[in-house]
Amino acid sequence: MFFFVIRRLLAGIPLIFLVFLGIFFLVHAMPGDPSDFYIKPESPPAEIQLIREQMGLDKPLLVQLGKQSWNYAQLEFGKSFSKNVDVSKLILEALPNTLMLSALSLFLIFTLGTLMGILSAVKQYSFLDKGITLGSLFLYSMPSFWLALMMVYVVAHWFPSWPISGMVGETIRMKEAAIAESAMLNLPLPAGVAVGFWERIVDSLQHLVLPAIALGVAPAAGVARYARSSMLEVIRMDYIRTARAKGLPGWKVIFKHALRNSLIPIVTLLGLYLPFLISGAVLVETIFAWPGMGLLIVEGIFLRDYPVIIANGLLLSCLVIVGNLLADVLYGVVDPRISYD
Amino acid sequence: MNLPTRHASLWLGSFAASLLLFGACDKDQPGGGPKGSGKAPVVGGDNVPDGKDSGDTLVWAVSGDADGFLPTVGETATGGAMMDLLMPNVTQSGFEDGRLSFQPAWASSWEFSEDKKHLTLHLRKGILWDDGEPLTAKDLAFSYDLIGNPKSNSPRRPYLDNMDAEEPYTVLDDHTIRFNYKWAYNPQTMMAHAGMNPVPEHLLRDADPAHLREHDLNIKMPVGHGPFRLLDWKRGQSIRITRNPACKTLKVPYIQRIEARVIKEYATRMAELEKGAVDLMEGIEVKDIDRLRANSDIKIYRRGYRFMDYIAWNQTIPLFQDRRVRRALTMSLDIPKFIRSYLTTEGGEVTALPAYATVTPELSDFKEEGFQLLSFDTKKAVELLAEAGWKDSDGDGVLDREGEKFVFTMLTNSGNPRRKKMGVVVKEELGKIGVHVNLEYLEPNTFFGKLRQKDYEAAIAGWSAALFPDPAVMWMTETKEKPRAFNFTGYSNPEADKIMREMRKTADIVKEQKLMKRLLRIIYDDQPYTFLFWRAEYFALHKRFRGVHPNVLSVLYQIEDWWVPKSEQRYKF
Repeated sequence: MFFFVIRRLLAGIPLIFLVFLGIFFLVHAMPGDPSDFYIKPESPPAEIQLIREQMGLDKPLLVQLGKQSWNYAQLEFGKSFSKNVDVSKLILEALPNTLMLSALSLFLIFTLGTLMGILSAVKQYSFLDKGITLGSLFLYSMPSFWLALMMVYVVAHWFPSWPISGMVGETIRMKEAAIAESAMLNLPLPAGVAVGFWERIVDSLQHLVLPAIALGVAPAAGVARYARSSMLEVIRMDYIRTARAKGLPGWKVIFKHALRNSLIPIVTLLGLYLPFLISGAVLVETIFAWPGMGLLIVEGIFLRDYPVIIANGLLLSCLVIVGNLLADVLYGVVDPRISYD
Repeated sequence: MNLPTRHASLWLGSFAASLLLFGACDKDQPGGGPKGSGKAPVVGGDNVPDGKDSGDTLVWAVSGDADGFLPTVGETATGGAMMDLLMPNVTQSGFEDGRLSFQPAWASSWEFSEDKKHLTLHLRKGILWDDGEPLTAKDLAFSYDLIGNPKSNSPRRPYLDNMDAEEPYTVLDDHTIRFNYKWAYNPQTMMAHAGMNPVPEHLLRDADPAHLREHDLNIKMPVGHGPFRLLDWKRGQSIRITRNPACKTLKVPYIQRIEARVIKEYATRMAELEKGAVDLMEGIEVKDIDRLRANSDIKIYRRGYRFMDYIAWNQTIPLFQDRRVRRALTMSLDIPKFIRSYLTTEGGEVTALPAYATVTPELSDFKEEGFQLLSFDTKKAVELLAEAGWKDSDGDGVLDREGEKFVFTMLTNSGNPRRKKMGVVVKEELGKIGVHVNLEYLEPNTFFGKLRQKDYEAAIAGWSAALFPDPAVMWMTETKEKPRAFNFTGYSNPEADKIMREMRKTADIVKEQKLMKRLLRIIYDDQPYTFLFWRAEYFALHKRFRGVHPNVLSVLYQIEDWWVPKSEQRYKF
């Protein structure tokens, strides 16, 4: 297993380099130029040239490519054109937020999806099965941005106390401001401004729920369909019949004997969903003002921020590789017959 | 244009030498030859403001984040609004009765020399930076040194364009500075060019101008002297500023704090506003105005005409070189009908005004009552096109000339429903006179790039209002030596050029008014654009805020006067 993982990771390196080449040339082929943002109405050509020099865009493309490849090999991602800070810093700021969101979404996708799939399969052709099938098809075909907008609208009007944007609630934000203010102006700390640990956790979870649902519902519906058909296949097998014949209760047959085998195709989906959750969060993060990777990527693209686009592109491709690797490793966990030698 | 934040601000920033980017900045004394004097502003010192209650937080939903807080390099609208509060300009702005005015702030008084080519500012003593260092004329001179350094690539470099190349400014002593101009021109603009937000010399003198954007003062903790100080900036999330009780440049505000929350999505900002989680929101769309007016917790304010839409006809291609053709196309469009249909609220409030120029109608000095617009007259339009040789000779419903069909592609930026509707209307209306239009929607940056490179046929685009309009930016003939990046249409008219050159050196307001009116007539008659309409800007504010003076300059105009009665204050911390 260990060597398998190492082998796969090493094989990923040339793949990542190819992805880098692809993104590099695509980014430079995009219409528009990052230096456009700095050009003034009467900028003389010499000034435009200076701007391009400062941004490193004056060199021939291949020279830029060579320099950037060397920098990336040393894990130096350069400075963002638009935000004036290291790209790695931007990613480190945004990545935890996105991972939080993705983790909750993944949890939703797989628990909810698998449960719906199992229920559907166990009660095949029942009213429940038909309801779940209809519901999951409905949710599967619903664009996440539309669902997100509807959630914003409904929650804002019917549950106005529930947060619909950002990461931190107003009580904590105001307390934080009061704390910062007293430190800056040397004022005594007002009573009751301390932010408790659990207060923060509950607040974060409240803010996570809507974007996680918007992001996870459609894939959960997809997982439900896969889980249903997989489970249907498994529960018709002889060993399930044997389990039933020896008098095991129904739930034990399903959850102990059938579930593990029916999970194999679902695990494949994990590898697919991991990068999707980050790239697919672009619209959801925009709507819920969730400061994650999606927002970073979309801003980078709009502002032609080459270092941000390339670094994020590489990160996503790494996630694809890791996601697939994770899926392969999990095959072994759910199916001991699979060997990695 | 619906461009990303940086672009949008560049749009404002470069529209004229001085701009709305730092909206609440700097204005003049009406009538020319301003001689500043008068009382210093009400000084806060260590006192909180008297009379009205102080406290509470203003939560402001912004669509874009700041890029930093250093005035020499800042380019975003949100950053600019914050900088005006953290390190205000030399003078305080005003805009009353369609005219800009300057009030003392850091500068207690100012005067022009007799030949109007020198402006001396007298700066108040005892003003301190947040770190306790005194604010002096050297700081202001240093700020101009920085924007003049090509390495810093400052968007405010055009401030120096009309100043003496050898000695643009002279520090006479720690509290007096003289600006030396090449020639006298509009005194308001001269004042504006001398009034930028200063940066602290003692903290930046060793900084590399090429890396100012990465400096801690820009991206971490700015040092200012204004009525607010930065509490924290969470990139992509929020900017929080707090009242500075030690401010001596301007009045200490009543509002304790301002929190700008970055929420990109309009629908989310609106939902937050309506549920009360956000107090202030700009850019209210026409469809929402009536509903918000019915909301008892919210007040809607109209700020005046700040944005215009136009159709650009690319005159570097033969199709649009004949002015009769351009005039005919304008005459085929029923612009008032579009305003009635799409820019009027259900309650009947008209939010737009047909445009005849790129100068906002808010500026009373340049406004011409009863300006004769081309009327909507398709019959006359067809005749004009026939004069220019365009007839439907083969009866296929599309005009042609020498075998060429009158077909063109009209671009606009994606993500702007209003322009999309306009495009559809234009296509339909021009189709009726035998002109076939293909519509194409482009990602904003691609669209902007095509405009700059004149790689298009026709385009629906827009401008933000400049309060010191310099028409040369978009109408002066472009040459190799003098590129005009924003003369998208390739417009060239020697008579207009002559007027614009003269205007740039005219200090007499009355003469400038005449020249401007003459120029706008010439340009309108040439129709390089079909000038569509000016749109009024609306903002929504929670009703608990008092003392608000809606103004075209800035949404936070005179924020130091805003206050909330104690009993209605929402945020206790």
